[in-house]
Amino acid sequence: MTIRYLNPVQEAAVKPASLAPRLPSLEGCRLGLLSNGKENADALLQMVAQEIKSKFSVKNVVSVTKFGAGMNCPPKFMEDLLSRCDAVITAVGD
Amino acid sequence: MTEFNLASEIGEAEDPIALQELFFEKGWTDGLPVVPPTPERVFEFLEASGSQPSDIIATIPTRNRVITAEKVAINCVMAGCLPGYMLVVIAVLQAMAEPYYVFHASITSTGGAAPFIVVNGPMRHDLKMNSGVNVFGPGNRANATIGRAVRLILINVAGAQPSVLDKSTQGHPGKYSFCMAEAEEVSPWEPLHVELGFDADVSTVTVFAAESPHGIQNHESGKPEELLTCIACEMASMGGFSLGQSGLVLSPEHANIIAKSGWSKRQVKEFLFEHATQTAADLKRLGKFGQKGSRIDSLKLISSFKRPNEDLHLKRLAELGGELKPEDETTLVSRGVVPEDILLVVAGGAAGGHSAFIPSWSRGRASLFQTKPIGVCLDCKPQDSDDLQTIGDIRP
Repeated sequence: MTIRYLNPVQEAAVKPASLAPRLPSLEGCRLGLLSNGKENADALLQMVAQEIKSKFSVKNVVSVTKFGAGMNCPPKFMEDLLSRCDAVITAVGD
Repeated sequence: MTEFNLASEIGEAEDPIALQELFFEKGWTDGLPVVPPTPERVFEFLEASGSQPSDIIATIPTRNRVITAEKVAINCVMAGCLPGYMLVVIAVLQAMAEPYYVFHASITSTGGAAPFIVVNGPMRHDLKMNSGVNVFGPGNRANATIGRAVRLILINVAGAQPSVLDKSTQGHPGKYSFCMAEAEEVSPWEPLHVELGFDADVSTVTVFAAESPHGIQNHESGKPEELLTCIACEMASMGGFSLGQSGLVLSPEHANIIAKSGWSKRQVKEFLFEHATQTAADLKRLGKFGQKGSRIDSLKLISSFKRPNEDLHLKRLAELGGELKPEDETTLVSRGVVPEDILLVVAGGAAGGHSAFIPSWSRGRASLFQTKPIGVCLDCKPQDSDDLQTIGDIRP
């Protein structure tokens, strides 16, 4: 007896994305750090920032902590960050 | 029968055993056999719920997931639901899609939460739900399969496959099904949905991202203060202690001991909030708060933040951060931040001094219980989330 069944699975709608445009140099840039709000993300980002600052003369660093590690960063929050930075690095800590 | 245009791929299996094995092999079940989701049966569920297959029931932006009525119906069939249950499952998913439920993290976190579902209103009777003996146990089809349908949807549609995206450290048995009705007829107080502002003849679901229940046994106390102090001790148990919300399912026997002395539901919550406490010192000594909490000092409150009582929550976290201080020995910290953080319902058999405390998954991840009317809106959108999560430490 053949049974017909429907597939119960819904795959995620994958949105095509590409790498952010590269800056010619990090020299003099305004660097943003976006943490997901978990314990070690900030530590990881600070280490990366120190490494960058040791190699380039960074103009300033803007550190932002997203509240709610399981939630998307709200568009207004991202827009504000991007308006004040030339490059943003994000990290997922735990 | 109404004709529907279904988007799902149709497969064929040679016999019922082959179909079960196929579903296990694909990882499409919760570890138990399922009812075959035939197109004919899925049509019945769509028709009963008044849904079109493409209706969007809920979205999970964090995962780019869209939950359609068609997939809800398929998984409801698999769970063993009757067609009339589908509206309840839809309302549960709408509640979970509210920003302050935190859909994605609640189903994938190491915390291992389960959606604890409480049904109120007349639909409890229409669906023959259990609110009495063995309310959390086996034996009632609606309770068992509504909760199970939600779990199958989380696995198959929301992507929370165990060990893949669902990274629960331990999880708990409620992740198979965690659904009950409130025993409104035997409760001495107004039912949950009326307390929350709904008319008594509206049916609702309340969904709470919950850890495993703690049993509260007390057979001897006949005094409200004694009994409530016992309950408060369980709510303050160190392992489950947090500033999160609390589920509290009082047995009819316990509820009536308290209410016959004239205690209102509000008074009960206030007493429990006042007594479900630990000292800040003990919390720090045992690693519940302290060094990690100190990071909260760097967060700034933004006035447009809409999450209820977030200012109180963050203020308390900031107070708890840092090294152990002398005043911590006498500083009492309540579970939750306001008495309304206690989700109080009555359910269980008429006999027995057994109630249950159900801790929250994570207020720190912004999760709060959510209530939705059943069958009122099939395409309701979650509340505006534009101003959400506007908190952060922006340093020049």
